Amino acid sequence: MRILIRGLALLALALMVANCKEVDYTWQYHQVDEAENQRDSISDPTILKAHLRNGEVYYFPNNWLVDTQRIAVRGYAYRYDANRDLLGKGEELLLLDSVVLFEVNKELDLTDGNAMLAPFTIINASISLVCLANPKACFGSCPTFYLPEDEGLFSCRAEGFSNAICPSLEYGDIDDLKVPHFRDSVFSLLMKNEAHETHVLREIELYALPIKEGETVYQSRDNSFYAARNLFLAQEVPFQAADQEEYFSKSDPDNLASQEEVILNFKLDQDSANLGLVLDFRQSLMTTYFIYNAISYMGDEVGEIFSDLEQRGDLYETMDKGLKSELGELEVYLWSEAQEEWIFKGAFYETGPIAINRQILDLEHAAKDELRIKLKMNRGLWRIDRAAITHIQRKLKPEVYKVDRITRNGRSSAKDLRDLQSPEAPLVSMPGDRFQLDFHLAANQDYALFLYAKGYYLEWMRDAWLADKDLWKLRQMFKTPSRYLKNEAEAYKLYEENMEEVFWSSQVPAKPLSLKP
Amino acid sequence: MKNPKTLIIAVALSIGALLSSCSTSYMLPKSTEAHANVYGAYIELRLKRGNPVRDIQGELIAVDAQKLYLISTQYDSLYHIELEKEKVLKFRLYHFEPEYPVVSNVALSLLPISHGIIGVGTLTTNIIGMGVVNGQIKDRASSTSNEMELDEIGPFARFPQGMPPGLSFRSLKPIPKDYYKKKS
Repeated sequence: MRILIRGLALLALALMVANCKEVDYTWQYHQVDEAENQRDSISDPTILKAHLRNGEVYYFPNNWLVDTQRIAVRGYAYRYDANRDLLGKGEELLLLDSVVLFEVNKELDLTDGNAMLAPFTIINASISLVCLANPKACFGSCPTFYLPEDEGLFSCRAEGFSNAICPSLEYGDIDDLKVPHFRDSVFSLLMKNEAHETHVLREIELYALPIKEGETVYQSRDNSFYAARNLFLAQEVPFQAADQEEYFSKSDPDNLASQEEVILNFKLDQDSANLGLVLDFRQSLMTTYFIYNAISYMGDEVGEIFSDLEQRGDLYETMDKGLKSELGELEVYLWSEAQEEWIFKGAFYETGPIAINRQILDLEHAAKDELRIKLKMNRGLWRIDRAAITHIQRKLKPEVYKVDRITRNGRSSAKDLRDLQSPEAPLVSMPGDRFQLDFHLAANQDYALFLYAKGYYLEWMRDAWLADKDLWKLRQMFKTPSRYLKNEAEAYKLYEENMEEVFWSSQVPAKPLSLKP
Repeated sequence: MKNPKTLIIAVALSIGALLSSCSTSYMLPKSTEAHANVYGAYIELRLKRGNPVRDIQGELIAVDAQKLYLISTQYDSLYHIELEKEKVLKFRLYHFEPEYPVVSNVALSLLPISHGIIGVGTLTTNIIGMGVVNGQIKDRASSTSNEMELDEIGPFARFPQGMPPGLSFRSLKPIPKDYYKKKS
């Protein structure tokens, strides 16, 4: 897929520099022998037009001859008057002294425009085929949040409630907007629906954390906020800076539940207490694959099954004990010199492959100059962008700001604002919708900003998925997830290559790569 | 690519390409017929400020040292225009009809709909590609004031030898509206 898209870009570039001016088709002479020479120098068939002083023109379509005396042009000709009405046609002997200009023309044979665009069409059709064969690789999910100046899908600041795929799974989710210092009184955020989904938004709030100079605010998994100072990056790992150059591994071809371990070494410049591990991470497309698979296994019974799951009321527990439990979390262990063993300190978890999560784990630990940490995680499920140690200073309480103004698709919408404030009629967002959410903050205060979004979304059934109906597999996925993860490993491996390509290819274009303009 | 606005833009681009391909069609031969054309080239002129009309289009009849002679059927009326060269700011002279790849334009506008998350990327690339190709097709079918001087366009007139002496310019007939359609 990446090759196809790069091919497209290269083609566009090549076309831009190519010069296709191919319009040499007419030459004019006052002397007939010059016209003859030109005709003889052209390998293609030529025609002759002889323009007379009175405006008439003789058109010799082929086989015209200049007689040996050089007094006339001979051949089959069409004779037109100044209005270009046909006066006659037939064998003509046109005296040269009546002609003021000879015009030699050849037929143009230009490259057809469709042929010029054929490589584009072929590549586009190939991508269409790939996406039709594997629609799970080509479509994103969840409400996505951006700053107005952000460009590209992967500049996305936050994904809302990625696990809430039906009403009973509704929950609220806090994400770091990665706006570490904001001082203006109005903050604008873009919310987009970039997938085949219906988004139902119950609450959106801005969490503003007042900060002091030199401090950075981090959010923990339990939604506590910590002010911290200093940052010590992990040594000798391929994911030091927060630059989207992420570490990730491919899944185990035999078992999707397989785990891996990554050891992180940190050098601290002083004896340090209250250390916290800051991790920038997100999921691969593996969970998206499982969600889409689950829905496609339901086939044309998707409505009935979801309705049944909703009525049973234990969907959350079922999912928590099912695949999620088998896939595991991003576990953090700290090496204890005294005990000479790894001590479990906690875990990170956040669903969603688009926005990078930045969270902190309080290690409740003091260290001298070095620190060793082990990340234990599922193979192929996680991407790590940065790991760092920081000094936790204090716990913070957020100031909570409600949305003051909503603009939907460029128009101010009081109804959407009312809906967002009403528990009975939540705000509903359809594919293609784009909202600007404005918040008014207290002036003259430095804030770090986080987003709270509560709601759920309904994935739209795709025609291509109906053919994948397999209720037995669906049952296996929920009831015996460990077996399902082994059985599905080979099939996922095939998708994984494709999905990774799509994922990274999607990062390439820089201009409004968001699905909404 | 689920965005209806994106789709509208894509379709609008295609329609734009279609319309632009039709705009000069009755005044111009196909590229394969250009060599046999006995009428003048189609010219679009932009006049300098201060002229009552800024844009003139029509068949180029003849060019002499001071003037251009055009027959225009703009606004469904027949105009025989004698225009001093110095009034012309810029021009585009069409030798034949730009034959835009309508099928490819439509296909490349619509195929990204099936590309899901990467559709905006492919649509953007396609729009650039289509823009470049359509631009080249228009460019090769025409010459502009950036490429040639006004004094050099005479050979593409109906009368490349200049206005025939004794001929009443105002009595000349325009290209019949269905002339090229009948030929093709």
